Amino acid sequence: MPRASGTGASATAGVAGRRRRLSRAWIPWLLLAPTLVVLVPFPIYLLATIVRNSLFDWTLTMPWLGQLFVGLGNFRTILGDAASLQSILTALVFTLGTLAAELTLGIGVGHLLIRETRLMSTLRGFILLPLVITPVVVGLLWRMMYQGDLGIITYLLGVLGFPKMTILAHLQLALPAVIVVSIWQYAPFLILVTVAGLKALPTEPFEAALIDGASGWQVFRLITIPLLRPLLYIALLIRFIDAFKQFDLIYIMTGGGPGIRTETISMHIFREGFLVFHMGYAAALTIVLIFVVNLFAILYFTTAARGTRTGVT
Amino acid sequence: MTRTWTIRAIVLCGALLLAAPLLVSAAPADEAPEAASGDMPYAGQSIRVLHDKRPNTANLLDLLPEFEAATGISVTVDIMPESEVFAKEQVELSQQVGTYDVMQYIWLFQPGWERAGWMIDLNPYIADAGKNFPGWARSDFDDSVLGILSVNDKQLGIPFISFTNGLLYNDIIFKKYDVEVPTTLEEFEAVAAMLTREDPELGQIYGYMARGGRRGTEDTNSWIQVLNLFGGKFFDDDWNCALNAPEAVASLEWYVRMVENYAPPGAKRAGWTEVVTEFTQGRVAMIMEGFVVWEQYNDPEQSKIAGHVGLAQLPDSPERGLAVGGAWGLGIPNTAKNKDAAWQYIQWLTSTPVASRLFLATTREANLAVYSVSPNAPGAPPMNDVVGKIFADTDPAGYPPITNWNEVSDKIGLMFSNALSGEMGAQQAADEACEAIDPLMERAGY
Repeated sequence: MPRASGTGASATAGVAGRRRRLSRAWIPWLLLAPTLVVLVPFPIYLLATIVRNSLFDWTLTMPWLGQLFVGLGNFRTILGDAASLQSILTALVFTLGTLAAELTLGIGVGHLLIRETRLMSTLRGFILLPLVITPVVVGLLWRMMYQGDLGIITYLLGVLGFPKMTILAHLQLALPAVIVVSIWQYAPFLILVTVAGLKALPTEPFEAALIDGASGWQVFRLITIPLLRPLLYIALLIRFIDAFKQFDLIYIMTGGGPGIRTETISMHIFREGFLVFHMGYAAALTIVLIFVVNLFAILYFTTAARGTRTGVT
Repeated sequence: MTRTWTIRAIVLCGALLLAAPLLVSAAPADEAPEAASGDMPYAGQSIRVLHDKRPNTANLLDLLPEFEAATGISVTVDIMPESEVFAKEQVELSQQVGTYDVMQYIWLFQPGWERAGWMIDLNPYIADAGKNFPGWARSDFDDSVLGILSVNDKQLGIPFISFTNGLLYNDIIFKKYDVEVPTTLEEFEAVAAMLTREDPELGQIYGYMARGGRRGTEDTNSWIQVLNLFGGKFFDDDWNCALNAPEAVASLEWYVRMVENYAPPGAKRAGWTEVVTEFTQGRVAMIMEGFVVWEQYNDPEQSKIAGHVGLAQLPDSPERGLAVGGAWGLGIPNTAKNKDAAWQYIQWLTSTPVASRLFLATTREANLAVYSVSPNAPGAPPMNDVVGKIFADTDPAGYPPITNWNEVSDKIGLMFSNALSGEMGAQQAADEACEAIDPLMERAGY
């Protein structure tokens, strides 16, 4: 009996233990549940809706036409639509122009700001200011500065002998002018990342290089950049995604004009979706946007991983 | 034990968090209306109104308490810039959201809205004497203006602002250089050329100012007026795009030349606001725009040329083309929750006593208040005479009454921007626009 009783007690304890373990295993899921309920279904639902809409010819403001199933027709239209293809190209030029300048500025200015002097600490604080201003406000400010009659930039260019013009309405200058503003606003992000990265680097490789008589350039090229590379990869990826889908700055500054010179794919999607209300076509363009961004991310990570393995700088 | 209770508390909180939206949505959306009295049959009801942002809108908010006190209806007003109002309204209506009981809308979009059944016909309300607001009468309105807001015999809106274009000139500059008001487009161009100069006192002045931005309907309006003066049309009798016809192309070439040579550099991305600002700052000699904000042109606090603004008929009008007119209306969406209360608001705001105080061009009498706020420029004909002539020579259908104006206007906007920026010549830009517009018209059933 005692034995049996002991076995029974042990079995009860075992069940209780299992229950406890089971309940412990569920606790993290339980705690995560509210977040998961909100975060997981919405993107899936949205993506599914976009994919579904992209298969239809559907104009929101003309409900009597109905929603006509066209399969991949919208995608075929994109391939033959010069404005859509141009918007993808413009987005790429905008992105690459912005990123190249931001990376150069980030590494260059980051190196200057790493010094621990009072001036540099103050500058580090100031340099972040553009990053915290909303893009709409930035767009409005720069639009005024670029204005043909009263803008400070046009005035200064006039002092240097250039003719009076509205830069944002100029065919060749409008896109570079918007790129400059994007660089002004977002270069501080890469500067900040570079400063943080440089501060976290180990000192030993640098000391060893100095002892070996390496020049400053060699240290920079062969030690600093390779050590910073993982951090810069992530920062550049974030900025690529941001820049490629940049909308607010362009909407405020040029509205995509003159003509379609500054109409990036995001601006084009907005125009098709919310000005013309071609919902099916706008959905197809959105899928193209998602595809391009993801394609770049995959290529980027593959290249980055290969570069890290081979040590190519 | 403590841990068990902690877990229970967390689970309970999580459940409450998830259930919160359900609990909120289960609550009544609006408080129950108070018992309506005989004098105030709509007391306790609340309405939400969408207005376009204009100089008058701030004054409107000041007068609202009078309406609320008189009717017991509570009013919430949303005010948005013109370009945002267009998009907001169409999304609201197409999704049948039901946020608004009254919408201020521009007449251009109403053919499509009527076909979709998104706005209610106000004729039964107008005919119902029991729903009349004191001081409002159908007979106070011009039939032609009411007609602008009517589609297929359905009265979709009551005029809130009716407008047309005139030649507005800076009389200070005209007097200084002893210039006569131009009566033909050739004279207009010659005067603009003569007045684009460096003035010893005024600095750089310009002969002309017009819109040149890339925002479609809003920014192409100045050119569309010129299109009419050149005798150009949007479509031929079979609804084929006629923007690449010789008259239309000539109008675009003329416009590009004028903006390029005689307008401030900012014109190429200007909208209505920029045109009014440049004109009232005294640096521009002439504009061809609406004069419904006559009080703004003559307000010393906003205008450096107050009291020196001249209004005349457009050059070559009506001989070659008419002024382009239009209207903003107040209408009731089919999804409005309190349609009777909304009708009370529309009547109150468009009635002569209230509209006159707000300088709204609604009834005949209120119109006079708008244009008699300041006389015409010294030496020019009396204001009412000029206004009368311009309205008499106005084409209320200066824009095509089509159901797909959104997509057509976008292509026109692109054509306009392409030509104005020099991306391509006027003919090429117009040919490309027609190539894009014709399939859209066919798809829309024209």
